[in-house]
Amino acid sequence: MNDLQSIVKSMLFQVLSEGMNTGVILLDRDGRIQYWNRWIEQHTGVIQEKAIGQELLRLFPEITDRGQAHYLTTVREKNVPVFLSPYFHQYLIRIANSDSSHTPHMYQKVKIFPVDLTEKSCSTLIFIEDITDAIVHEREMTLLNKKLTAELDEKKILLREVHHRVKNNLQIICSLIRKQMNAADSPLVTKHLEESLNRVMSISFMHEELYRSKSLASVDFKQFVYRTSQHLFAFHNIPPQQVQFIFEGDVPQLAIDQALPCSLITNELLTNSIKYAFPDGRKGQIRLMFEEKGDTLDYHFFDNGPGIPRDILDREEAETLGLHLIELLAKNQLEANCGFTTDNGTSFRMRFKKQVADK
Amino acid sequence: MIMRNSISGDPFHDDILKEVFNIGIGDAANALSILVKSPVRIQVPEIKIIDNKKLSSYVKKELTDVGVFITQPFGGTITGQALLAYSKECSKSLLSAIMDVNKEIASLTKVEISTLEEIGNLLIVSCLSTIGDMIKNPISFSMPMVSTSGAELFFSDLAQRIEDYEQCIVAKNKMEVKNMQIEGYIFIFLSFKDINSIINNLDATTNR
Repeated sequence: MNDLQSIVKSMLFQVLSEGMNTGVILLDRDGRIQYWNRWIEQHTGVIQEKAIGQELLRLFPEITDRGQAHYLTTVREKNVPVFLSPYFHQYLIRIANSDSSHTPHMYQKVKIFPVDLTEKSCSTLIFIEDITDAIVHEREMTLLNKKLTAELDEKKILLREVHHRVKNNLQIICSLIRKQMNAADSPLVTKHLEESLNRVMSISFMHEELYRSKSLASVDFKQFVYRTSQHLFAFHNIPPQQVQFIFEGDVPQLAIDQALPCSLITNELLTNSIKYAFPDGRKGQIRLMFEEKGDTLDYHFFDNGPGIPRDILDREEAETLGLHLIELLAKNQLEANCGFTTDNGTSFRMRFKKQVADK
Repeated sequence: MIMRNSISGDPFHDDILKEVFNIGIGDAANALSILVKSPVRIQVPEIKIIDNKKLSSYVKKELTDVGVFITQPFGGTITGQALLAYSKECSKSLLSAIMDVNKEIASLTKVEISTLEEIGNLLIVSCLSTIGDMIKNPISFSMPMVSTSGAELFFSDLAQRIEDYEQCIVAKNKMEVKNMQIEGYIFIFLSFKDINSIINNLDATTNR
């Protein structure tokens, strides 16, 4: 390299490094400072005139005391770059922080390169970047995150407790209804109380699933259906050998706003099938299927009984609360397209848009 | 010097390269042990040389999902690109073992990035320096760069930067830090000429 090239390169290096918001130090092969930019001058308080020609390790003996001198040797002898992250090293040159409320010293990201620049004596180039603000910000964010997580956990515990208490209160209501059923002298009253009891039980199962659920915003609907069907079959004394209940498909986690109407609809349909589809010990099958198609869910309930008579399905005239409930819940709460068919047994289908549960 | 059209599948070369990488990575493990104040063991159980044309099928098999990638170009007698790759789960384990943080890698902080730069530099430089020593020619390194991305997207972007290199040495490495097993991959993208030079030097060193 000729002298002119050398001068131009050296000037270019100085211009670039003076404008940088980074400390730049150039050492010769003996570790003596050859270049000391304005940034490092301002932050260390060591002026260029005093720094140039001095050994860096003598000027800042703490580098050796803190066991970091070998990094400079590694760069010089092995001709490899070294990177020092603030997580492991905090800093290379201790620089007091003006705002001591945050941290007592500057956190530095240090890059040390072997160089072969214009002069043969130059060997090590050190870049020091101040990342104190980023560290302080990260620490604040971590603390805030921990605080928010703790608050969220506390709220989850409280919400779980609420669901638990609702479930217990519903169980008390069930006990009261049972007492009324025992005291009732009319079969019609008993029948209506039975229906109410099972509806309340169904809601109670849902709250039980909710407080057991991890997210509190969605429930394992499969588990709910399993509990409800077991309860209804036992309540109506239907042995599994007589009526088989099959639950098919991958049941998604349902958001609470959809799980409740779905649970009540399933309760009504199951009750209806168990009570009317298989009279006099007739054997049969009940199927419930879920199918997820994109963002929609297909719900299909089917029994192979004689099918609900047409006059009962004529909802304008029907006085059965169960069928009304199914229609109301499906259309008003799930905004579903739904309908019954009774060609071969009773079939109820509904399709609704799946709601995304809040985490 | 023997010029080969393709260098892959020679178990002898694989064994020698494995040995070279294990020496290099052993140095890195020692340095890392001091940093994390806990024993670090790293081994290279598997090494292979693959054509870059077959890289995408290898990546599809080995690295799925999002990952952390640390790239570092190098030059000197041999020129190429080094890459240290970790899957999403292994990146999380690495940060958890090293920094005691448990988080998603999509949101790496400045400190975490610089920590990964330091670790990446340690591993890549150690391995390549051992190769440099073996071929008796020093290798110079540029700055490492950390990125997080889907593996497929990352390698499709990388393809432009490695189009001058026909082959790649892939070293699977297993790191054990604080009872955590972390599996990573070191890719070294090189030209036929440079990889031939390395292999010939290895042959000469082992008197083959």
